[in-house]
Parts: sequence; C-alpha cells; structure tokens
Amino acid sequence: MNAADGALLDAVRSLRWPARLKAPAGLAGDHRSWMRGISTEFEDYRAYRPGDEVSKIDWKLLARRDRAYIRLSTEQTVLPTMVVLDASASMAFPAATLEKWHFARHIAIGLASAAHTGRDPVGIAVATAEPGGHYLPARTRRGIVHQILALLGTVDPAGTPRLAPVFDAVARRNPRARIAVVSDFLGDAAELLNLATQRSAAGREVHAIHTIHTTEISPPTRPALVVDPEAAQLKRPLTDLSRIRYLENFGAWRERLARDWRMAGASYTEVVTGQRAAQAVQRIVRPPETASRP
Amino acid sequence: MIFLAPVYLIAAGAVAAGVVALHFLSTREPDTDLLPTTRFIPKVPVQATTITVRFTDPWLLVLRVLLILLLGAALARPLIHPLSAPVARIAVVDVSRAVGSARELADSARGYVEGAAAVVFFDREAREVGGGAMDSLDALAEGTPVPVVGGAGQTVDSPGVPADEETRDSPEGGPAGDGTGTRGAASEGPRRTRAEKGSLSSALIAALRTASRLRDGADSLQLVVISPFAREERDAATERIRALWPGRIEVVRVGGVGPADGLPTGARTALADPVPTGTATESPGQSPRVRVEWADSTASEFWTERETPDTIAGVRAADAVMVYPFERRWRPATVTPSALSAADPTPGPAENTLVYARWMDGEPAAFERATEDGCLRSIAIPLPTEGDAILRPAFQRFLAGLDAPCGEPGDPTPLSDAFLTAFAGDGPLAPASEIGRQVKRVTPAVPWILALALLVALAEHWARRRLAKGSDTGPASGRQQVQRKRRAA
Repeated sequence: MNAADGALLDAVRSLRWPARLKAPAGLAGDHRSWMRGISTEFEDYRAYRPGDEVSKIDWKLLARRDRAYIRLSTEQTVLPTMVVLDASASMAFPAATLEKWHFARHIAIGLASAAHTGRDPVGIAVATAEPGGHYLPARTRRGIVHQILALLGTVDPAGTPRLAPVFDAVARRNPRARIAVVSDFLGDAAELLNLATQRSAAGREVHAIHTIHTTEISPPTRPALVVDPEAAQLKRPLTDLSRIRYLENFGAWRERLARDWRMAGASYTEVVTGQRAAQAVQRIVRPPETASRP
Repeated sequence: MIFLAPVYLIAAGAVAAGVVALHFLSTREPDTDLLPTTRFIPKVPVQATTITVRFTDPWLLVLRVLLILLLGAALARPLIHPLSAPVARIAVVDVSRAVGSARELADSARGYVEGAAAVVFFDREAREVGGGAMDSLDALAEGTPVPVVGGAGQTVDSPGVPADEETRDSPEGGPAGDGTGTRGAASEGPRRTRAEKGSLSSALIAALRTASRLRDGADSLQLVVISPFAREERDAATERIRALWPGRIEVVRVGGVGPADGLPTGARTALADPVPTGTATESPGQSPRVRVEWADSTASEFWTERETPDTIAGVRAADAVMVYPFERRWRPATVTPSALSAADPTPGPAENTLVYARWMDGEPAAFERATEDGCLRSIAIPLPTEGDAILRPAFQRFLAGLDAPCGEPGDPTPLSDAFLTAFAGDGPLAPASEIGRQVKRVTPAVPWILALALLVALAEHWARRRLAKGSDTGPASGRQQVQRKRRAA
C-alpha cells in the first residue's frame, strides 16, 4: 500500500454504499430487504387474515378502530458486493504511468471500502490475461479491503481478457450480490451488457463504472499515428480532421453506452482520470435521489 | 578498364541520381502513440510522404544505387584488360590462282601475318583464318594443300597456289610433275580441282567485317593486302568497296602468273604470226601447264574446215567482247553429247572440254580441254591483220587470258600501278571509330518484354502497398478475423 492508497482509504472511510434496491433476505444488515418482518422500523399496516400470528395484531389500533390489523416492518439485511475489475491492456494507459489503471484500481478499492464500512461482505474479481484471473470471494472480515489492495498490487494489466465470463462467474457464485464493473468497456461490452441486463432483471444491483482517461476525451492535437494497445495492427493517423471525427465518434459511443446500461436497469457512472478517486467513489455510492449526472 | 558502351553507364548514373533524390522523399509511418480508443478514429491511409533533408534508409539507398550501377556497368560491356596494341592489323592474303609463287607469297605475307589481329585468305571467296595462319602459310610455301582452320573453327581446303619454280618443275612427280600441282589440291577427292579466281571485292568485304569485330579493341586498324593484284581479281564493285575502308591500305604485291611485260605468250606468238595455225605454244613457268593451239586443217581434233568460210561480226571470250568482221573458217569437229555440260548445252568435240569462246551466233570459237598436266586451248579465231583492232582493250584482255590458268577465263595481267596507288590510298590508318559496328540482332519483342517487366514491377509495388494498407484492419468481425488468420497462416 502506497501513500496514494492510504490517502484514498482515509478519504472514503466515512462513505457507505447503500443499496438502491431492496436486497434479498439475508443476515441482518443496513439495507432494506424484500422481507417484511417485525423489526422496530415500522413500514405499514395490513388487515388481519386468518392464519396470521395473533401476537402481531396491533391491539391499540384494534381498540380504536375495532378492526384487527397486523403491524408490518421492513427487514434490514446485508448486501454482498463484488467488484469486477478490468485489467486489459487498454487499462494500462499511458504506458509510462498506467494512470488509467491506477485510477480504476482506486475506484475499486474505494467501492470495496465503502461497502465494507456498511458491514457488507465485499470481494473482487479481476479479469486478466491469465486463465481464471484473480478472484477474492466476498468477506466481511476486517482486513478484506487490505487483501483486495494487496491483490491488485500484484496485477499488471495486459492482454485482451474477456470481462463477460468473469461477470457471469461472479454472478453465479454470488447470486445475492451487488456487482460493480469497473472497466473502459472497450472489450466485450455487448456481451457484458447482456449479462448485466439479465442480472438487473433478476432484481440485483449492477453498477457500471466507465473509466476514461483524460487523453481519450481530449487526444493530443499534434499529428500522430496512434495504435490500439490491444490490437497492434490497428493504426490510425490522428490529425486535425480525424481528431474532430474521433471526438464525434467517441462522444456518441459514450452516450450510447450510458443509455444502454441505464436501459438495462444498471447504474452507469462515468469517471475520468484527473479527478480525485475519492470524489468519484462518492459520486458512485451516492443514493440515486441525490446523485447527479456526470 | 574501358567500357565499350559507356552510354549505359551514364544512364545508370542518371538513374542512380534519381534514386538518391527519391530517398529525400520518404514515405513512412510517423512515430506511434498508444491510444486505447483508436478504433474511433476514422480509417484513412496511415502513410505520409514527407520531404526530408537527410537521407532515409541509407543502407537501402546504397544497395539500390549499387544495383543500378552494376546493371549499367554490365550493359556498358567493360573491358578489364583492354587491347594493349593501339593498332590492330588485318592481313589479307591472296591465295587465288593469280599468285605466281607460293613461297614468295608466304615470305611476303609472313611478316604481316605474324602479330596480325586477323588473317583473311581469299580467292573467289574470303574467309578469316584462325590461329593456324602461320602454319597455313608454311604449308603453302611447301606446295602442299593445307587445311586451314577458319574463323568459325571449320576446316577448309587451302586454296591452290602454284608452288615455286623448283617444286613445280621437279621431275619426281611433285605437285607440278604429277599434273595436279598445288592449284586446287587436284588429287584429293572432293577438293577443288581448279584454282579459283581471286576477288578483291570479297577480300575487302571480309576485311570490313573483321574490322567491325576488332574496332572495339583498337584505336586504329591497319589493312594489309598481299596479292599479285591481277586484273581478273578486280571487278566493277572493287572501287566502291574500297571506298568503304576509311583509311589507307598497305599494298604488298607479289609475283603473279602473268608475264612481266603484261603480254602473254600466246599473244606474242600470235602477233609474231598473224595467222597462227596448228601451233601450240606453252606458257613457261606455270603449272598446270597451259598450251594454246590455233586451228589448223591438219589438226582435226577440234575443228573441221568450212567449205565456205563466212564472216561474223564478233566473238566473246569471258569478259572480252571483240567486234570485228572475222572470217570464220572452222567449225567444231565432232559433237559429243557426253561432253556437254548441263550449264552449257552447246556441242563440244570431246570429254573434259569446255567452250572457251563463242561467236556472236553462239557457235564455239575456242575450246579448252583438260590434259594430264594442264589444259590445251584450241582457238579458231583469226587475229585481225589489218587496222588497230588487235590493239583494242578487248583484244588485249582476250590475248592476256590465253595465258590464264586453266579453267575459267581470266586475265592474270597485273593491275596498273595507277590503280594500285588509288587502291592503297594515302593518309592515316583507318580509325576504329569510323568502322561500322557489328550489327547485333535485337528482336523487336525485347523492348516490349522489358516494358512488360517494368509494368509487372510497378504492379508488384502497388500490390505490396495494398497489402500493407489492408493490414490496418480496425474493428473486425469474428469471421473477418478468422479470414485474416487464415491468410496469415
């Protein structure tokens, strides 16, 4: 853990990541559950039906209204959180500083920390070029964030790993979990979106954190021949004219990507290097009613 | 080292300069930067042509320039060891029947043949002799037929030239004694039985062809003609062909078969007796021996006397046409069809006999019959006794031809000194640059094939660029990726 990691953890120490949807029933936690129980947090009344426990009848209300009502309350549960991190070659940009990768890594750590602060189990899966990638199951123990931090310190982004199989494996192993995908979505984005759609349809939270480097938003103005790090044969000249076309194409693609993910029921957040990772994490974990469009 | 076709080298230098200039125009890919979102840049050619002030790809430039210069040098036909002699000598040796003494000819020619770049023997035809020229001359001097190696390596019979006096007159049956002599190597199967008449025109043409071959190896060309320069060796084209030689000619005259005073024995006899009949004269110092007899009533082998002599306007012998009201007293004696040659259907009296002269109406006026030691010429032409007809050139040529060697009528009389002076010319030797180059056969298809090769080279360049451009694939479908992998495989 370096100084930047420590500063990040300090900055997100107070952040919590509340669920945007009701969570499936589970252990008691901070998130509202689909289950309605007898907890102290009142939610609603329901007319008594034969078979209900008599002890749940609100006797005071019965006395006032002369009708029997059952007092309903919301169950609080934990929400396991899995972060799926893209470690492809496109994330290793620029090659000298790997700024994009480190930014994505901080986002993942910040999200894990925010989830762990709410006593949620948290884990991570890293899609790398190595077979199987790296996987750390969701845990609630105290040192899990540092384990994630240590794990990411060993990863070198390279190659063209596919993100969709990793996402699918995580979803199968953690059926209740909230999944946050941190990626630039330059790989198998369509397949990943398909899986995310299915996941959202099942009532699970899916977050898409689109990581972008500032150079990708505003490429250099000097003429250059640029190469895709994941496809060396893909070379294009970046001139004044092609730069304009690039900005048009890239902007349109980002808009289409955000629309598709949101229409799939997922949360889409675009984060750009250059901003503070803690602020980006805060924007991601902010409840929907207070979140603003990037 | 010299170059025989330096224009190719100059052209190669110009092309190489163009290549050097082209290397200032660099078509290359600029330095590359990584950008993960490259796919969003529109697909355009990635090569740019720039003019740089420094050489690009210096090793490639060196290779290309070297290649072009080597091609130019190869086409320029370099001579690493040029001919050291500034003068190339062509010795043209007359071996025709007009040569009087083979030994004299060999002695005269030896000094010129030795060290000559090329040696040409000629009689009716001319052929360049290879490395055996000296041996051929030695053989000629010994009076034996000598096979000489021609320029192309083929073996040809040496022409027959009369041996010297001692050999010719030897009673032991030498070349003269056995009646065959060296003239035409008569005794050996397919070899020529009669010596050929010489042709200066053929000799000059052969010399010109040889000079065309030698012109690139010498500064000047020296032409030496060793010959008796008999009149029969000159023809109408001789002067014109001589004019094609752009320099002087060294003329070496050797003794011929003709008399020194230019008047043949037969003529002297005839002039001594204006009406010679039945007299056989013999040309001394000549082999095979040539005897001339004049028609006589007692000699009935060739002629029978006409009952009524008639008068005819002229007679023709070889190229001598004599116009005179001759009194024709004799007619051919016996007609022997077997003696007729296919080319001469005129009746003749006996075998081995040919018509030597004819009257204007086609009747034979003179015969020549081969004998064991030579030939006998029987003449039925009365010599004019009045006027100056006998002094006319036609009569002179006719009389001179009587002493010509057996066979085709000719005139062994030496050419005049004035002709030889004009023939030799004056001034410097012939410059090699003024000799016509040998014509090289270049088929018309060659430039078209070369142009086609150039087009193919350009197409190859275009295809290579297309393939290089095609490698910039951009986002591709899975099927396209599979196809590319197959192509790469």
